[in-house]
Amino acid sequence: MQTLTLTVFFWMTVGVMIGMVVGTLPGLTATMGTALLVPFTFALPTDAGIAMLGGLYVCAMFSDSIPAVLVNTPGTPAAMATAFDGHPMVHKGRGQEAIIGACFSSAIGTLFGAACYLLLAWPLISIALKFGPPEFFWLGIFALTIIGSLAGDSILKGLAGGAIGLLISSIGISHGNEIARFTFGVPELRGGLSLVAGLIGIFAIPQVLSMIADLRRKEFIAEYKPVGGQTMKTIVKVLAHPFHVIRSAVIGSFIGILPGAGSPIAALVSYNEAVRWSKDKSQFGKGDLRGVTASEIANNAAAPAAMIPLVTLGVPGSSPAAVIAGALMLRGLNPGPELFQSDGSLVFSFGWSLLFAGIVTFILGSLFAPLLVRIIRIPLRLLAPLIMLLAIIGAYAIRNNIFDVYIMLALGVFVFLIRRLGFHPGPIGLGLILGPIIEPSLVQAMYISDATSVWNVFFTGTINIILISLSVLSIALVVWTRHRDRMMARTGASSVSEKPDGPE
Amino acid sequence: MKRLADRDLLTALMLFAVSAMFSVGSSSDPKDWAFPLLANYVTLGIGIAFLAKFLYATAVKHTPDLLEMTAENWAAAIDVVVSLVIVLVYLFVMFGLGFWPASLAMLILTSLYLTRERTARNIRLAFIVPVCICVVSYLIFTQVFYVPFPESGWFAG
Repeated sequence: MQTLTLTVFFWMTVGVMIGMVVGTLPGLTATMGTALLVPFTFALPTDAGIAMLGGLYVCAMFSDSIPAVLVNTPGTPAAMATAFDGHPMVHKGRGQEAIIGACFSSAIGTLFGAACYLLLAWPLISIALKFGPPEFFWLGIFALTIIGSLAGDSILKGLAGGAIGLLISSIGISHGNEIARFTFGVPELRGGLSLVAGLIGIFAIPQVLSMIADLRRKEFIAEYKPVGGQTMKTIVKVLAHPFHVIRSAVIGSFIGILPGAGSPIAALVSYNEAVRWSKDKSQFGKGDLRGVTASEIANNAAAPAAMIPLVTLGVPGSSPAAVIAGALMLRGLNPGPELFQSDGSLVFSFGWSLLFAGIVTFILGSLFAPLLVRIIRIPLRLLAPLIMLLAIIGAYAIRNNIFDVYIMLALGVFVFLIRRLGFHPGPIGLGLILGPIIEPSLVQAMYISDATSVWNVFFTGTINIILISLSVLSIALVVWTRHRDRMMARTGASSVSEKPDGPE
Repeated sequence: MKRLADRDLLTALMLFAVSAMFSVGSSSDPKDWAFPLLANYVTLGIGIAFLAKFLYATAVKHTPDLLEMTAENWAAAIDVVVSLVIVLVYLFVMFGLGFWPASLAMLILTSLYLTRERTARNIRLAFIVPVCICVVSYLIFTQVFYVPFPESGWFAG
C-alpha cells in the first residue's frame, strides 16, 4: 500500500478522466487512448506514468458502456454485450439505472481483477499457459454459442447473422498462405475490415437510421424522469445476485489473462453464462440489469487481469497492455519475471493504482450519470446527425482511412435493411469480433494437426474437453429452453381458447 | 404476387446473395478457405431452409408473413434516403471543402431537413447545435488526439 503515493494517485485520476472521454467516443479505443498518452508519461515518474495509462484503460472499459446504453452504439468492442440489455433499459425509462449499474459493475470487476493481479498472478498464469491454438478455437466456439441468447425469435436468423459476421471478418489476407480473400478487386480490402468501423456500422448506423425513421412518431429516444437515490437502489439490485457477480468477475479475470482474448470475449462469455445460469431468461435482451452487469463486471475484470501475463511473463494479455509494455520498455524496463526482482515496488504500485482506478471510476461515473443520461432528452432531429458525425469520425480516426467510412456506411445500411426481416445486429457483431480469434486458432491448430492428427489436436486434453462440453451444453440448453417456451406458449394458447366466454 | 414480399422468401434471397458474394476464390491449401467456406455453407444452408419453409407455407396456403409498407413507412423511408444522400454527398464534398466545413454543412442540412416544426427556435437550434458540435469535436480530435482529417482540396494553396 505504501507504494501508492499521492503523485501516483493524482496521475491515475487524470488517466481515469481521459479514459472517460476516450471510451465515450465511438472509434477511440482504449488501445488508441493509451498509445496517444504514452509520450505525455515521459515527463512523469515511471510509476505515475504507468498508473495514468492503467487508469485510462480501466475507465475506458466503463465509459464505453455510456454510448452503448444511451444510443445503442458501443464505445469500444468490449461494450457490445452491454448494449444488448442496456439500451432496452433506456426505452423502459431506466437509463440512469443502467449507467449506474454499469459503473458499479465496472468498479466490482476492476477491484476483482486488480485483486487477482496483486494476489494470484502466478497460480493463474500457470493455467493460462495451458491454452494453445485448439483451446482458443474452442473458447471462440463457446463464445459463439451466445447467439442462442441473442437470436431473438428465430434461432436460424441468429445463426445466419453470426455466419455473416464471420464471413465479413474473413475479408483480407488469409492466415494460412497469406492469400487475398473476398477483396473483389478492391486493394483497400486486402488489409481486412477495421473491427471498430465494422462494429460502428453494425450498431450505430442502423440506430441513426431508425431514429430518422421514427422521427414522425416520437421526438426523443425515450422518456426520462430523474429518480432520487438511484445509486443506492442500483447497488442493492446488483449485489442481490452475489453468485452472478462472482461468476462474471471470475470469467472476466480468467479470460483477461489469456493473451489475445481480451475484454470483448470476456464480456460476451460472461453475458452468455449469465443467461445460461438464470432461472428467468425471458427478460435478457429486453432490458435486464443482469445483462449489463454480467458484461461490465467481466470486461473490467479483464483489464487488470490482462496485466498479469505482462508482469509475470512479459506477454501482454490485451492491446492496451501491449502499449503499456511498450511504455515500460521505452524506459528501459523489461516486463516479465525480472521486473518483479528489479522493480517489485513498481509492479505492486501499478496493481494498487488499477484497484483505486476502479473506485475513482465509480465515483466519477455515479456523479456524472444523471447528467449523461440527459442525452436521451436531446431531440432526435439533432441527435441523429450528431451520432452520424461521431460514427464517421470514429470509423475514420481508427486508421485515418476514408474507405473504413464507406464500409461502415454500407454495413450500416445492410443491417438496417435486414433488421426489417427479423435479424438482430448482435450475432453479426459477435461473428465480426470472434472471427479474428477463431480463424487464426483454427489454422494454427490445423498446422499442428499435420504432424499428429485432427482428433489429437482438437478433441483431447482436459481444457478442450471442458470447452467442448460447455459448448454442447450451452447449445442443448438453448434448444431445450426454446422448446419448453414453445410448449408453454402452446399450452397457454390452448387453455385460453378452451376458456368459456364470460365476464372478466 | 403478394407472396413475393414474404419475409421468409426475402430472407432466403438475401442469404443466397450473401453466400454467392462470398463463394468466390479457392486455393490448393484448404487452410486458407476452411473457415470462410464453413461459414458460407451455414449461410447457404439456412437460406435453403427459409426457401423450403416459404415453399411449404405456400403449398399448404398458410397466411404469409408479409413485409408491409404503410404510407407512414414510405414517408419514413424517404426521410432515411434523403439523410443518406446528404451523408454520401458530404463524403464526396469533404475532399473539396475539407473535413470540418463539410461536416458543419452536413449537420446543418440534416438537422434542418429533419426539423418538422419550423419555428424560429428550432431553426436557430439547427444552426447553433451543429456549430457547437463541430467546435468541440474539432478541439478533441485534432488538438487532443491528433487525428489528421482530410483538408480542403479546392481551396488548397
